[in-house]
Amino acid sequence: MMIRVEDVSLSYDGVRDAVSALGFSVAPGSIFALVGPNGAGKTSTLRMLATLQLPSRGTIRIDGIDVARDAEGARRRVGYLPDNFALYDQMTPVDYLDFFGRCYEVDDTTRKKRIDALLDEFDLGQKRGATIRSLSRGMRQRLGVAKTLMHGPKVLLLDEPASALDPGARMKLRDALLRLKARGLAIIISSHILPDLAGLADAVGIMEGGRMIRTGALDGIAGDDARITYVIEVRANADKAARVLNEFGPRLHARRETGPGRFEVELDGGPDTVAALVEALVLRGARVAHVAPRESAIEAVYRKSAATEVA
Amino acid sequence: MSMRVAISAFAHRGARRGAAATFLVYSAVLTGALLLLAAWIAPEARLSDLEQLRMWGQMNPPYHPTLDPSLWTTLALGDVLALWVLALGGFVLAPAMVAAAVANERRAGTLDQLRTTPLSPLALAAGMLVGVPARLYLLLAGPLALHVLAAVAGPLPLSALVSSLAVLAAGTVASATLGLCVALAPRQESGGAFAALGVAALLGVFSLTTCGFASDRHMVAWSFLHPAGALDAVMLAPQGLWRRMIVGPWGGHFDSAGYQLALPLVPIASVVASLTFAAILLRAACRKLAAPQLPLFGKRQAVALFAFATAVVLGPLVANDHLGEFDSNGAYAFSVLLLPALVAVGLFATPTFEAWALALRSGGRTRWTSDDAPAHRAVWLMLALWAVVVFVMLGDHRMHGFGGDELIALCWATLLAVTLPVYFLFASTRYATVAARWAFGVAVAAHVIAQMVAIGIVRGNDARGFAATYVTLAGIAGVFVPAWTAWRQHALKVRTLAR
Repeated sequence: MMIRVEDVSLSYDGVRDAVSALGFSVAPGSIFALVGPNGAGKTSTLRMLATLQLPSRGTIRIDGIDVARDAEGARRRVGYLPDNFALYDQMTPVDYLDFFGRCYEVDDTTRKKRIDALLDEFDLGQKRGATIRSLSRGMRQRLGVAKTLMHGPKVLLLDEPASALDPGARMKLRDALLRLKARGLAIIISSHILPDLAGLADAVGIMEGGRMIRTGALDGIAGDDARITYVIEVRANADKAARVLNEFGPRLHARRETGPGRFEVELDGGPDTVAALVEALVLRGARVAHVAPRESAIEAVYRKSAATEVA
Repeated sequence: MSMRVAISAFAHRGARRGAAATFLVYSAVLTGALLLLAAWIAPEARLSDLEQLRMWGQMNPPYHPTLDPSLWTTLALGDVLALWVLALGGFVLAPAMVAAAVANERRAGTLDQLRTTPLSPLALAAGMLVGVPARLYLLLAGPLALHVLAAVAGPLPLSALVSSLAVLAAGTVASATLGLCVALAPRQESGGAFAALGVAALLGVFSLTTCGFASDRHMVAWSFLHPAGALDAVMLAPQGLWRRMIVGPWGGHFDSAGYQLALPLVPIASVVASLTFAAILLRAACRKLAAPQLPLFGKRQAVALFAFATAVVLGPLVANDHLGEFDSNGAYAFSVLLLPALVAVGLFATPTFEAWALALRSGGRTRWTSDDAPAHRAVWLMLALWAVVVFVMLGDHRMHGFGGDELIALCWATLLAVTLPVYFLFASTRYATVAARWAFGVAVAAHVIAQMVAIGIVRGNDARGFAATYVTLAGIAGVFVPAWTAWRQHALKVRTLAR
């Protein structure tokens, strides 16, 4: 495992743990989504991983290095992008990357090559001579991610990287993260915007009040017991469709008719159950026009976990 | 390796290709301008001195002051101007630039990003001290060359060159480190412009004051307190244009043996003091860069810094013939002089509410040296140190210095001093905002000043009429205010433990 967090707790005031008994691990070439509401302890967790904060208890290992014992070694392996990060507005993207490259002791030749490569990869080549002040929010975010890669880290820690980005910028960022994942980086993304993480994260850790209430591979969690709400639209024979839904069996947990020929159903069992339901609808003469999940798997897992926590 | 990398990174930050060469050209232009200015002024000044000599020669009886018009050469005047530029750059602008840059990094949040790089705190500090003002240093290269040229080809003695360079280098390091600490010390991420202006103003005023000391026979021993004063002393030592410009034709006190002896010692004392001061502050800055949640000073650092302040303020007194004048008046005067130092190191060694509460709730007994412990014992240790120094130095004056009223005044002053850390802890743990802490600080300052006035009245045996009423009220306040603060602190402690 590239990142191993074992029984980590953090308290700022001795009364309440900002992070309590946290444990998870992240493999190389995978994306771990840290989700939870504001104040759940996501940023504190990332700050501990980035060596900005020492845990009160427990150990954090990055590439086998204990961050409490060898912070410098850990920093050479980690790229960290904080939430609401700042850039040096008066600099150009080239100067900015060059400065951090120097701080990470990247030699001159590699630095120049890497700056060019990163600017191209993050679609900033056209803006290499412009001041950072003139860049759009999406460009600044991509430049921030590019900065975290200047020293060739093995681990990437991104705190709310997509917040305040427009849909186009989010898609570009998402593509970039998938490329980095394919290159073998272990990536942790914290977010409270769950749709951003759908289709991106391999594993998820759900935090609430400083505790990890659920963690594991997304497929496993979603496939095991997560109920996903689907929207089904039927063009004709809506009454037949309603009968099918009533008779579908135990894998359908709830259904609502939200309009003429429009149903929302809560299913478990994953794609196989959806296929079986659509097949049953078609066989009974319902003309199915549209089937889509109303929420992603990660949202479903989060909703269920949060509901369990409240109960 | 790490320090070199950091300095290089900060020096190159945002620099265009060829920026170093450009700044060297600017530096050459600046030097040329200084020389042009000198070439314009020097002949006029020489003529003016000649005219004055002629007039004084015609007086009856003729007056022959120590005035040498031949001192006014372009190179000598250029050297004087270059040194002023070097002092301004090194002692005022460089620390202001460092303070502004670091305060802006804190405000913007980029300092945290720098802390995630493999650079050690010492490397980061070196990068900020040397790399941030790198372009200013390049700009000063020309005036520096002119200063060296004045020694090689002009009237400046080689010993003065060596001394001045040592004072400039050590003084710049100390001033820039002070700028770094000023920017790192506040709990809130303060505005860079205010931090820079504050540092520049403070250093500017202090440098002018110590420059005044250098040309005063009685105060020269204290001129090393700021490197500008030491530089002034270095340049006053040889009979040259600097002395002509600073003291004019009336330099009789330069013949005094004590003054002649003190002048060469000032640069040595300045270099030693600057480097010691810089070392203590650099250590504090590194601590703060490594762990921003800690107070700027550890308890031992605070005590060491206060001991250093005591030594540099009182050292000259011991070293010259003023020691005989150190009576109980002197003790009070120096106490007031050292009070800001005590308040500053005490405040910046006091923990935040979070650290204090964490230590409180852990239940264990914190050592006085712990960062989480209140600064009470450290401040009392400083006060004890000061008391020992005072009693040792009072020597024979002790007995006749203490009348009945004076003993009361001394006890009152001691009580006031001992209660100071109560306010430090309360300000640090009770108030979350800067405004609230400032308001409390102003109130406490007013209380302390009122107490000092009352102590002065008692000591002068002037407590009659309205003054007696004032002293009575101040006495009540002297007990009530710290008691109320301590009680509120206790209530906060109980509340914190109950949460």
